[in-house]
Parts: sequence; structure tokens; C-alpha cells
Amino acid sequence: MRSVLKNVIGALVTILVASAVIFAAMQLVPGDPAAEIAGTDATATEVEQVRQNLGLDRPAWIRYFDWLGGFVTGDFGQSLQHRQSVLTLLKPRLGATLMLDLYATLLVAVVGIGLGVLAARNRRMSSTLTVVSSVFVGLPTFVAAIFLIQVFAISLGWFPALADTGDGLASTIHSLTLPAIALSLSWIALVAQISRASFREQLGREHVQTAVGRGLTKNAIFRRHVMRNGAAPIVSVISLTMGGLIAGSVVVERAFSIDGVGAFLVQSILRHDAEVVMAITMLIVVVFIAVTVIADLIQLAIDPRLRSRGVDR
Amino acid sequence: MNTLEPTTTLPDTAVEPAVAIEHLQVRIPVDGSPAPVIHDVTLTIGRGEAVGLVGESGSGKSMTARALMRMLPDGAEVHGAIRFEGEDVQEMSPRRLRAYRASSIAMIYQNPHAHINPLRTVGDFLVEGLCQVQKVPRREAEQKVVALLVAVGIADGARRLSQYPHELSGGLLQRVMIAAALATEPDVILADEPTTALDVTTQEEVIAILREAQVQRGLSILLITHDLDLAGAACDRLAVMYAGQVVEVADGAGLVERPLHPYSAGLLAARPEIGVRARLRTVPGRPASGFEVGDGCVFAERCAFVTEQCVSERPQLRSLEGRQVACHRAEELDGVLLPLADGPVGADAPGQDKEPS
Amino acid sequence: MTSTGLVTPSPRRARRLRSGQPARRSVLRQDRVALGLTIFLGLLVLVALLAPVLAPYAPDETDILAASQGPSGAHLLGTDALGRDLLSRLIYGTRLSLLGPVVVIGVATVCAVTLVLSSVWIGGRYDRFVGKALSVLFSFPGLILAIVVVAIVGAGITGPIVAFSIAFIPYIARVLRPVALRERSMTYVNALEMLGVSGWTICVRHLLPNIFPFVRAHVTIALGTALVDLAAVSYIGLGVQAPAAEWGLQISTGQADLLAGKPWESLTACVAVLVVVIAVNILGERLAAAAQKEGR
Repeated sequence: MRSVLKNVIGALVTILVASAVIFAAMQLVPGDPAAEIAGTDATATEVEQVRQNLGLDRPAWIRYFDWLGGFVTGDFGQSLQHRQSVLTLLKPRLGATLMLDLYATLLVAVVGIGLGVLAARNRRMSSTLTVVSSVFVGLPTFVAAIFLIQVFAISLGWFPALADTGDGLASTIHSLTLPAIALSLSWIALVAQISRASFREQLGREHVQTAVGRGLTKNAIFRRHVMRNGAAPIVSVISLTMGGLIAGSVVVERAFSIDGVGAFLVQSILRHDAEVVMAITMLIVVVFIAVTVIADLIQLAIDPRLRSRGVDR
Repeated sequence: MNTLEPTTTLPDTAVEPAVAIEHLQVRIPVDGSPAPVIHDVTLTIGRGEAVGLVGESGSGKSMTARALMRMLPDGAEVHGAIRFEGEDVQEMSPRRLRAYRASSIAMIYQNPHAHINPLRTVGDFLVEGLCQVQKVPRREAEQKVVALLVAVGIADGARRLSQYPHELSGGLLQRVMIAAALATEPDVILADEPTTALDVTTQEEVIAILREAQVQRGLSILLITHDLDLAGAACDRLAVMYAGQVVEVADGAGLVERPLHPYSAGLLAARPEIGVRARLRTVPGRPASGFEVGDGCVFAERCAFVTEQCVSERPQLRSLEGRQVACHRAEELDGVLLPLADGPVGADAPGQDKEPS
Repeated sequence: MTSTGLVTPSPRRARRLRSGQPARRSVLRQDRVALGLTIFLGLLVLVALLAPVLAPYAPDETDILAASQGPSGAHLLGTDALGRDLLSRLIYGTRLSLLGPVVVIGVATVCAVTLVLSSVWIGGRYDRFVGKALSVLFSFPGLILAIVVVAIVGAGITGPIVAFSIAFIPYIARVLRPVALRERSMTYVNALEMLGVSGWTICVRHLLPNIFPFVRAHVTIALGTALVDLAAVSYIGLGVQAPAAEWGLQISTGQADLLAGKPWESLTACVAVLVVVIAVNILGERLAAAAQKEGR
């Protein structure tokens, strides 16, 4: 349990450092929010008044802790462009992005590991995977999106070209299918390659020989002695995948005109909306680090040797 | 069910032996082309009998055991017969083969830490054969294996079930492996160097456990080892293997007192004697593997008594005075080989030949 | 040639002496595919340089009457929504599309090689610090870093180039470190050290040439990734800005036409990106395999 605590504390420290970096970076964003809000024909004293009202005249470190405290308690500040609380602006968009990323993660995990299992157990599947995956591993997300739109939305008309995440779960899932596939294709290829290699390695291990010698069926051997034993590198690569998916969803949201967090981030950068940019990058960092910590904890759960207390004679 | 009850089955050689291997030949692909690893193995294991298969590494002992389990590497070519209670193992259907592996035969491996899944508990490993294959309920299976753990000298078995393999020492884990092998009540146990990774005192205990299981449960045991003394102590009969061939079969005492094959004599001379601080003698030359030998006797290259015939013609395993030996000159050398254990190999032997041409 | 090379020639140099041919050429001589791909990429650079000569039209020459057309004799790949010739824009697009990744990987490689060689050579606390910093950087997606930098410096090609130059350092360093460590532990390095050759000389004259095949292979692969990442930043609207010609931007601006059933702008730019990425990846993998073989 000590290793769990160590993991969590390490993560919190990283988040703290990242928050300081993000806050410092945002101080460099050009433009004076007080001047912008006061309007072009405001006098210097009026601008100063606005600055005081916004609390922008306080030293940076006080504003940092103010902002950090707000972030921890769920107050992400006010968007100066929208004149609204960042949280209110984020909430609906968060849902769309979360759906998209979860959908894609599910695809990566199920299809990627599934292909890896098939390829590890079947030679012909394996050589097919080698060829196909080497093409898909290098496939850029936006290229995949364009091809998918052209083929499945415009030519075949099976899915909408513009995703609508508004009404109903079924229609949301339907319209998020192409974006999720575009997002996940290259990661599926990677996960399939990694899991095939990992399962192959386990199949050659001595403990699998023991299981064969005990008369277990191939399925039972795979389930009991290969899957979990080969899981460690797969968990690592899937945690890496989730980081990649967060970045990729910025691209996919643009491709399918999804009004999600990624699209909102790009918008806010172009409008110099520092509060929103800070909140979103901070959220991304937190999710990202949380995924890493969870992956580490899963590794601990999988392998008792990692939480070992030594030999008990 | 009390599994500690000694069974009344006695060794019975009159009926079909438990295992009969006849003229086994195995070739496995090396770099694409088949290379022989077993030339000629003929061996029987009677019901309730313990047979020791002795030889250096690379002699094909483990391969023989794997052939008996039908667990040879992919692409292996097998000739000859392997019969379990009269049934040809090579001919078994996949289903029958699984049933045979599950309940007729069990294997104990040299390195328990590698051969037991490190991510599953000791309990999982112990009951796997019972629960997964024989469909025994988990609770019942656990009771049975805890009793077996006691039988192999692990008193606090119930606690061990929830531990992981890495939490147990090699000796403890090897006992667990033995208990797991016994759990499915097989007829034959193959023990492949079961004590090599253990320290000396643990070795003796493990051998004693195996011997006890054999006697009490009427098990047939094939003990594979490079240690002649160990095999002699644990087994009823010994088979000496060299370069993929069984060169001599004899009872333990007979082999040690009067070896008939020059290689057996060499092995005897090579073993370290307790209390004698002499320099360890080895059989001269390098041990050959199965795919290195030519048409003649597999031992010809290292044999001190080699003749023209030995180089050109492979001797078959034949009966001699109630034992079996594969040597052209066995009758001539009978009795002469004995002093070898004390003198240099090949000294004062009759008809010393020149180098094989 | 220094006398030190004669005492204990490095393995690579010894091989070169034995085989009697410059090692640098050997991969391309033995591997026709790698040679073909190298020539193809060379031609692409030529296209970028000679764009004004090769392009049938100026990249910003609009012809509203011929907007959003399919391929024809006058416009081989068709025109975009403003009636600009797509082939010409694609040809001019090679300039920004290739320049970005080349700068990024160039800077990242110099930094990575310097960091790896110095940390492997110096070792100790410095080595651990560099290792830790690189692993933290590696786990963070470069695209997000680029977005943050763009937020500070504003949309354009500079921000993404700066961000990815930093983000790609761990990608290259991670692969080079084990190779450099192995090379460092070789006896010939030890021998040179004992002869009193300075660390700088050993690193530059011996370690660097010996890890060169690996550097080359992984730099090639990273080039493809950088091209995709930079195009992605332009695609989402934070990189190269209109009306400049760049593939990622073209895919983005062509999307309105795509939805109207006129996919030429997006599709041609997609194919351009894909072809270069696949070519670079295959070449990189071939070079890596060759480096692995030679390293043994």
C-alpha cells in the first residue's frame, strides 16, 4: 500500500508543478485583459479601475494561489471574452469530448487487444496484422478523418459528416462513430502489435508448458496463463494511448465540427481567452496524470511481485 | 476423502507395463532441417516402479519425457512407439490427449519458479488440474490439496494457498509442485531434474517424498537426473542415456557394482565421492548431443575400448544376464570395467585399440 | 588519422577497413527499396526548391469563374473554392510542409545527441536528472505542448516549430541512449581514455560516428511524425495561416468543398501527406534494421 501512496503523492507534486508552469505561461499571453474589457475608448483611470475590479493588480503569486484554490474547489474562473464562468462554458463541451474519448478508448482496447489475441494464436492472422498495422500505425488522424468522411458519410451516407452530440444517446453514439474510428485507428494498430508480441512471449514461457502438460484446453491456457501475464506492456501502451487520444480529439473535433473541449481550446487560444486556456490545459494535465497513476495501480494489481514482501519460508 | 490412506496396489510387472517406449526416434527442426535428438530409446516403466533416466545434459533425457507427454517442439518427427498402458500416445485424439495429460500422467519440472504462473496464487496452481479439468468444486479441491501439502511436508497448507509463488523458497515451491502433480491422482509421474535447483538437504527430502508417494500410492515414476547416486537411491531400475540412445539398463546396485557399458563406468568414475578429496574426474572428451553422432556407436568417439566395428555399426540394446546393454564388447568388458571407478579410464584394459580411423 | 585509431580501432572503423568501402553508402547500396525511397525524398526536396519553375500557376492566382472544379486539362488536379490551381498549391505546399519538420527534427536531433552523449559520458547525478526530465517530457503529448506555446506566441508556424523542437528531443534521445551506453562501455573507448584522449575528442570522433547509423534511422522515422504533427497544428488552425500553401491547411480549407461533394483539395493534400509519411516510415525502418544488423 506504500507504493500506492508514493504514486499518488508523486502525481500531486507533478500536477502542482504543471499548474505553476501553466500559470506562468499564461502570464506571457499577449494583450491586456483589463484594457480589452474597458473598451477601446476608455481612459487610463477607467482601465485601472477595471484592473482593480478584476483583481489583476495583485502580485502574480497571490493570483496564482487564488487561481489554484479556485481550480481545486471547482471554480475555474471567469471567461473575460464570454463574460461567463468557465465551468458553465465547459460543462456541455466536456460531455461531448468525454464521450468521444471513451468511445475511442473502448475501440482501442477491445479491437486492439482482440486483434492481438487472434494474431498471437493464428499464424495467418499474424502476417496479415503485420502488413495492415504497419500502414495504419502511421496514418495521421486528420487524414483518416477525411477518408472516413468521404467514404462513409458522403459516398455511402451511413454516418453523418458533422457529428451531432445533441439529442439522445443512440444518435450521439451513431454520429460519434466516425470520429471515434478516425481517432483510434493508429492506436488500434499499435495496441494490436504490442499485445501480439506480449502474448507471444508469454506463450513461450515455462508456466504455459506446465499448463499444457496438465491437459488444459487452449482457451483455458490463454485465459488463465497468457492474458493477464501479458497485460503489463498493454496497460502501459493504453495509458499512452489515452494521452494521445486527448491530443487527437482536438483534431477530430475540428474534422467533424464537434463542439467539444478541444475545439473550445483552439477557439479560446485564437481569442486570447487566458482563463479558459488555463482551465482546459490544467484539466488535460490532471486527466493525463490520473491516467498514468491508474495505469501504475493496475500494474500493481496485476503483478503480485511488484507489491512483494519478500520470501516467506 | 482421505488421500493419505496408503493404497494396496503393489508393483505388478506381469500385466502390461505403465509405460513402454520402443525404438523411439525424434528429430526436431534446427534451422529448417530436421536434426536427430533421440536415436534409439527403448524403455519400460512397470506399474508402481521407479525408473531413473541418467545422463549428461544434451543426452535426450528431457526430450524423452516430453515425447512421453507428447509435448515435443513444433515440427518434431517421431518414429517408434510410445505406449501408455498399451495405448499409443502418438495416436491419441486431442481430447483423449488432454484427458491423458490431465489424469494419467504428471510432470514435475526442474525450476518451479519458472514453471508456476507467478501471477496466480499457490492455491490456484494446486487446484487447477482438479477444478479446470476434472471439474471438482473449488472447496473440495482445496481440502484435498491441503491434505497433500501436509503429505509433502508443508504443515500450514491452508495459509500457503493464498500466497504467491515468489513468496515461497525453491524447496517449498518444489513440494507444492509435487503436491499439484499428486492432486490429480496420476498413474505416472515424470520428474525432470526435480532437485537440481535445490540445496543438498532439501534434495534428499524431496526425493524421500517422491519415493514415499511411489510406495504409498502405487505410482510409476520416471526420475530424470544427471546424478547417478541420487537415481540409484531413489529408483528400482536405472537407464543410462548417451547422445540420444539408452546404452544400459540395470537395477541400481547392479549398475554401480558392475557396469556393463563403458559410458556407465565413466559416469561412475566421474561422480564425486563424499569424504574423498580427490580431484574430480570426468569422462574424457566432450559430451555429444544426438545430432552430432555418426553411424557407429554413439559413444565411439570418447570410448577407450573402441574398435572398427564400433565406428561402423551402431550396437542395439540387447539383454545380457538379466540386464540390457548396447555395446558390441559387453561380454569381453564384463568385470573389467569395474576397477575403472578407481583407476584411470581405459588403463590396463584388454585389446586397447589405436585411434578410431 | 590519429595514432589512437591504430591502437584500438573502433569496431565500425575496423569493419570499414575490412570491407574496403565507405560504410556510409553501404545500406543504400545493399537495399534497393531504401535507395529508391531516398531518391524519392530527394526529388521532393527538389520540387520544393524548384516550385516556381514546376508549378503551372502562381499559388495565389485566383480564378473565381473556375472555382471548385475537378481535374481538367487546364488544372490537372482541379481548383479550390477560390479557383486557385490545386497542383500548384500542392507543389508550393511542399515548401512549408517539409521545411517545418526538417527544422524541428534538426534542432531536436542536435539537442538530443548532445544531451545523450554528455549524460552518458558524465554519468552520475547529471545523467539521472537528464533521464528523468526526458521521461516526463516524453509522456506529454507534443500537440498539447504546441497548443500552449501557440497560446503565448500566437498562431503561425513559429510557435509549433519551437514546441515540437522541444517535444521531439525525448523521442530521439530515448532510442539513442541505450546505443550510446553500449558504445560507451566498449573496450576501445576505455583504451582511448587511458591513452589520455580527451572526452570531447572521444565523443565527437568515435562515439558519434559509431551511433550515427541509429541516429540516421530514428531521425528519419521522427521526421514523418513531425510532419504529421505540424500538419495537424495547421489543420486545426493554429499553425500556418491562410493564404499560404501548406498541406495541413489545405486539407482543412478543402473540407467545405468535400462536404459539397468536391473532395479534390482535401484528398490530394491527404494523399501527399500519406505518401511522404509512408515513404519516410519505410525508409526509417529499413535503416533501423540495417543499423541493428551492423551493430551486432
